[in-house]
Amino acid sequence: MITTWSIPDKVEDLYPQKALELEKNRRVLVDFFLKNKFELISPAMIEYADNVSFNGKSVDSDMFKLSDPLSGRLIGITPDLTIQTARIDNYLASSSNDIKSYCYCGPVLKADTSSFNQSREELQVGVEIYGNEKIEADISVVSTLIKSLKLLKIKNILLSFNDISIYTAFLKSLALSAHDSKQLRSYFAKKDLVSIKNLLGKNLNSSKISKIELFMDMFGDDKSLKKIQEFFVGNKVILDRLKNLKKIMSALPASVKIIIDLSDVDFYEYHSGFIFSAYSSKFTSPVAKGGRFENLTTNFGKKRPAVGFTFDLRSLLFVG
Amino acid sequence: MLTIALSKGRIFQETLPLLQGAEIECKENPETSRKLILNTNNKNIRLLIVRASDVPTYVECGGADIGIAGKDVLDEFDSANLYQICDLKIAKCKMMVAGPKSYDYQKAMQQKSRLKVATKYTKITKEFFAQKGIHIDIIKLYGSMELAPLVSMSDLIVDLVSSGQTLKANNLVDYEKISDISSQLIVNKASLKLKFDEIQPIINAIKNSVNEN
Repeated sequence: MITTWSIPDKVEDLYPQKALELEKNRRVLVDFFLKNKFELISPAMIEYADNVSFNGKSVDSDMFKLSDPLSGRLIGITPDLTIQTARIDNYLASSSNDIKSYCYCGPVLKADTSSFNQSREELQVGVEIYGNEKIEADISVVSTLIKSLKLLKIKNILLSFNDISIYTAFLKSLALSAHDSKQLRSYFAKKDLVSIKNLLGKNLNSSKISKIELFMDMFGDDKSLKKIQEFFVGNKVILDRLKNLKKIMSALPASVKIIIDLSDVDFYEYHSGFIFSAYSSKFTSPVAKGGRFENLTTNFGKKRPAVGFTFDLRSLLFVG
Repeated sequence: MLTIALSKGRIFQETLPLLQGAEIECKENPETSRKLILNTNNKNIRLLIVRASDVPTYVECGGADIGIAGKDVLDEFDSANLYQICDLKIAKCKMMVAGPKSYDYQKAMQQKSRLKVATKYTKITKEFFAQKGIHIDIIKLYGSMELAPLVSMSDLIVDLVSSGQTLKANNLVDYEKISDISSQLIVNKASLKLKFDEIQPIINAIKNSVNEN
């Protein structure tokens, strides 16, 4: 008789029925991506840790690390295939403007997971478009996500939109220390005004605290966009970003409900512009996440505009 | 269907007027009923009666869409999957460092002494003393923290202090405030987005009631 559970916490074996379901879903999605001219890549599972570390703590802290007996260097088991894709794109793109579209489906391992029901082992599926800074790439990626989720029979899809550059610009206007800015991001992600007041209360005047409170209220359906635009009157950069969000919203099917949430900043730190999450009833956390990540590619050589999404195919098996 | 998780006792009593502001009235009294799911005047809204420390878990896991939880529980729980949407300004108290009257707290802080601290709030306590550069050994207790320094098990305690009467009755004094504590309205992140049309009016009504008080 087995008296102890023999695999680590937050990973699981898939038995025949679920394993077959996973494989069928993988095939459906990869076929769909190939049909839509995304090139399939299969990134390496391990990576030099310093290739990932410079992208910010959030990716780095998600990574299992070990010493490579061949090189003596620290290597990490990839927690996120976007970084590998950016590295691969750097080799494959002939120039900064060369438009490349990739898709992938591979295992990733997360050292920790904040969500109560999330496995540390994921089968991460995603698409990414490099070299296209135009809004058409954003629309293409979000449309592909919607179609992908529908192919997997995920119903009642809701998208949450934001542009991280609006949050960054707002934060800059508060002139905070690097330490406070970093801490503040996790509080914004929770809309936790009490902790923000505790952190900054002594250093910020009440008008700035009120501004933060108003910023956190910048949340709602498409009707709230007008209120958000009024809040940023006179700030051309932010108004342009909001206009960009509006254009993306207008280009998507009316059947998909969209929420705007300017304090939804719970994303990897390599994101730089338009960001989004997909939700669906029966799921208590986002089904998929994605967005722009212009800064990431610079670390590998070429500065390339990029946008994409990822989600975990395994987690979809255990809902319903 | 919207589900609101809250605990019996003081939080429930102080939450009722706020819920009434959102036109939500509970039909039963949780103090006399053994039911754990209570109906309201709105057939699409129900209340879950759970332990105060379990409220964030119910909301994070999607067992409830909305919850009322103390800031102490939320800071200790530290969930990334819920919003702390509004300070309800009820069930107010303070998270304090306390110890025996005879203890020289200022000297211990200056000397950066290694301290024994009894508490059930291990995360909050670790973070507080880490910011001061003081190493502590935590003694995890689930209640009657005041006893620990009295029987020389710890130098200090970290606990919630309301009137201060329990400290006084046990010859303890509070030395330093860690934070003000009050109940917060929390919402599951996915619920707020997926049920925006139902939840947002409730949030607005509760915020209005809080501001009127």
